[in-house]
Amino acid sequence: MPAILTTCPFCGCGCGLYLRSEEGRLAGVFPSLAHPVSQGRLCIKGWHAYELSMSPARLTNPLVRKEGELVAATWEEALQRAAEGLQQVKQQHGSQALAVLGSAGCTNEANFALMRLARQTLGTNNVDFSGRLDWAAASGPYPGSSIPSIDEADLILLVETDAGDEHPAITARLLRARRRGTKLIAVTQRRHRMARLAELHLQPSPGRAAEVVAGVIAATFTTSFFTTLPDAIVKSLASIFLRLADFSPEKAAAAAGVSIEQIRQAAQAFVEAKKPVALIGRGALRDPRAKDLISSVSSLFALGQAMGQQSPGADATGGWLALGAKANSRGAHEMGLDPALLTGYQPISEARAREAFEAAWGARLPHQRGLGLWEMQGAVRGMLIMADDSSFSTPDHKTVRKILEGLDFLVVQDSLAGELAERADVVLPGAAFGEEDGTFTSLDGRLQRVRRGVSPPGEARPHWEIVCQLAASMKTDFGFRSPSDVMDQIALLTPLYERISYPSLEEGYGRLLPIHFLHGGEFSVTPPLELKAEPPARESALPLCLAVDFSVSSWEGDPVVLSCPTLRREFSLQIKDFPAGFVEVNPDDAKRLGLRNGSKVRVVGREGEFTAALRISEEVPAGVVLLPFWQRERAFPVLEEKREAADRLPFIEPVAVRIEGA
Amino acid sequence: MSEKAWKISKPSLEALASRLLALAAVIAPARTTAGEVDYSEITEPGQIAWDYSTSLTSLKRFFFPQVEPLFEFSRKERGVSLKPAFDRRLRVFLGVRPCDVTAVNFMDKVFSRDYDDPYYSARRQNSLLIALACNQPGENCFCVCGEGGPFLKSGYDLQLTALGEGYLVEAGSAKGAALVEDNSNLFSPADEKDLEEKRRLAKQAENSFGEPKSYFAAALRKISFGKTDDALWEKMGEVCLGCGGCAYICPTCNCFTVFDHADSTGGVRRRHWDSCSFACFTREASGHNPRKEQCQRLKSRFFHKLAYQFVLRNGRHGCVGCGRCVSVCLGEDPMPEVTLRIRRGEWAS
Repeated sequence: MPAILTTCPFCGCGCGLYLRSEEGRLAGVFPSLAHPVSQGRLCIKGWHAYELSMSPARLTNPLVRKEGELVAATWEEALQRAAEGLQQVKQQHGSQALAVLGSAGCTNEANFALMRLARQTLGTNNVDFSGRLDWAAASGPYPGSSIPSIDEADLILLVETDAGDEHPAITARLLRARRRGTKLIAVTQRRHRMARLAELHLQPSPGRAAEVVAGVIAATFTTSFFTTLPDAIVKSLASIFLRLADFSPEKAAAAAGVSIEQIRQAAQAFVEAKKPVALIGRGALRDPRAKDLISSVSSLFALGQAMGQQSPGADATGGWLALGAKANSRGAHEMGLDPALLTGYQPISEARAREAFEAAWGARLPHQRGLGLWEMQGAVRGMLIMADDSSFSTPDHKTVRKILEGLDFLVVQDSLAGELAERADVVLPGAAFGEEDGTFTSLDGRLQRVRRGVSPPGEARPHWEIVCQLAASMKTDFGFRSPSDVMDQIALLTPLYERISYPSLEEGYGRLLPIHFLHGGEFSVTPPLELKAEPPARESALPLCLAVDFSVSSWEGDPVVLSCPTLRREFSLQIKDFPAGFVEVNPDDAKRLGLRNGSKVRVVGREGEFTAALRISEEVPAGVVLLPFWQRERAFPVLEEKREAADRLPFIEPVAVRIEGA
Repeated sequence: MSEKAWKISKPSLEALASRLLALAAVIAPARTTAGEVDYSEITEPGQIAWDYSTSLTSLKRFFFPQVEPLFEFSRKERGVSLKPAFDRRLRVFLGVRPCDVTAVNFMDKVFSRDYDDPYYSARRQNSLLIALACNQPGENCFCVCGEGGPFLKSGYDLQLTALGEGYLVEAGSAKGAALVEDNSNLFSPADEKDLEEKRRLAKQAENSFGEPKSYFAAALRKISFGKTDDALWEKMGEVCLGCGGCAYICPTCNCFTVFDHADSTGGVRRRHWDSCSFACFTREASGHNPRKEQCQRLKSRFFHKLAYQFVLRNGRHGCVGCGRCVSVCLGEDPMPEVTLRIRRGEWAS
């Protein structure tokens, strides 16, 4: 069997790899040298993608719950049970009591079919996926950069990201950029690898990256370069300037906890750059003020463009990229897994977009915005979850657990057994990576094929096909006979995916989707910058600031990664080394507190406390306690899940704490 | 050993490939669906990409696959039953590069030294290696520094050298000579002029590498006697992203791990490639890890590749100069750069 070219299933970079198969099982991986993103390189995860199909936790049979037990069933029986169960909830409680979750790990085709099932068959806009958290703030047809464009930048601004092990293909490009002499400026709370390698590292207090960016904008107006600009340009920038009138570089520096000299150095480097790029990481995207931060970065780049800066790369129209996406986070969102959006960011509330779908599907669609995952508690009674392990990625497992506990009926469609499948009334076994045809959309909008190298094991079937069969069990024939048919309909109904078809994706390595401007081709700054003038609150009794760190070991405990034996060994290292968890502090703080590396500590907050091992790290700023994201649950007596006002998205805000020996 | 030399025309070589296809699996450089060249099993001679510089991957996986079942096991009423999975398919490797053949010879030593690995041996004994000498090195190649090419002196069954319209064929083993004899109507005798032309091409190929890309002699000496600076390793560790790609792509890296895929009734034991770049490669059950930092792992990797003790054991150092780690390294520590830095004793880029 010849090796097949496909797209890596882990992070959102979209690396190209070949899959080998031997006697019906995946037998290896090797990189494609000519691929525009990966260029012959893979990270540890990509090299082990072949292990995904050999997890001992694979679901290979449909299961239905009988007298409290999950027992093997035929596909016919399972689909029938799933259809009946969902319809029963609909009859008793209305379609608003139904919800559907798709997956950043599934193809566009499977997610599109699922979205169609929710809106057409079930009649609900309660459709979402947990990966939206890492993507929502940056999503939209924004002027974005592309991964290959990083090579052409002369200044790279890293905002709360190391790229690190989260997006290694980008990390690799950053190393090469630095070697070519490209300036790196890091604005990160942690002094991680890239911050150490950067020319300039501004280390803001937790959650204050937006203030640093605003400070750089304010300082830009006072650089010598700026005073040489023509009046007309200066005038055009007045709106940005006015917003910042009350916010001097000094004030920004004080609020962010960085020095004014550093702010000025960053501003100087920025005005001297011709092709800057900014990379915004999960630490910033998961912040309650993520939209503000993105608007600050957009303002900075608007300023740069007015001063004659260009976007690096032929593909790119803008200078920044949001990191944090899984393989198909962007695609899942663009397939309409959003309570308010149809495909390609078309609002469900807009009659014109909705009518096109209604005409194509021959059905009326609900107009009202549905419920997002984090609004479902108490409102949803029946659910279909396709390969989405929300409890891994959302800040508070409890919220998701409560939603699940409140269900009368749950259908889980997944390739892996686990806690979620154990709760289900019906389990539909799905294909894993390498067993299904389709497409992924990378974080920079590269739409690429994923290809099937082997058949799913046992009775498992491709996800897109299961969704269509479930729809058929509820008397809606989608008419899709292949993933290619699904893409044809996506292209028909989605301006962003216009004219895309499988044959068009065969040439080269997929397509970079056209990037639209939000505001008629001009940059503008819509939401006001809500900047904070003070550093995060600390109290004399609670002198340290506890913050969640997204930049280290971002794959630790990821259920998909854990299903590969080699990756399970590597990505459970910290769990094994620190079975009771750990927090990290700076050596000076540890010395002051008289605490040693590895000692057991009590972290005390206003509301409660938790214990953990202490890790002393030079990478942590003074006065800060960092907690890796994957350990957040143990810290919930101190941390609290909060909700963003607009979309009720959950986040964790830094809190004041003290540390004492336990 | 070039006493036995013949010539073969291109059409006759294709005819030979056809005959071989009827007898065995034929592995040759062939285009992937995306048009890149990789050694793959072919079904017709027309698929062979004769004009290539380096294949994406080496021959390693054909003898030592990325993952392979070792045996199935099942619980019996009394004890356990084991069913080993040996691969004894006949295979001919046609048109493969000297560096990759050199690597196979290296691996032969590794897999038979203290203990004969029956899985490796089963594959190796049923294989025939027909090399294609390199007239033109690729962009990242440095086999001339790694003594892996561009022409082979031994270690092959047959070696082809492109000479004008056809190929010079040299036999390096009895198996190779027998293949020629069995198909003698496809070959014609070579004369001294052909051999002279081959020697000229080999010299020309060696000279075409330009500046040396890897400095093994000095690196071997320094690394063998501990004369490398830890600060340098720390610097190199900072730009190693621990992907394991160097070990996986390397035709001579041979570390593996073993996993059982089993339930209470039985299962299968598989071995998977493993890499010393990974944090848990040396982590002990106690939790102690002698090579906790990336820089320590990197140092250990290059020590194993280059130190004299391994040269003595394997007959050569562990790099054939295929250049694949140059393109595959996610960080910035491919073999030629590391050896240069070791030689200079300082960071050089």
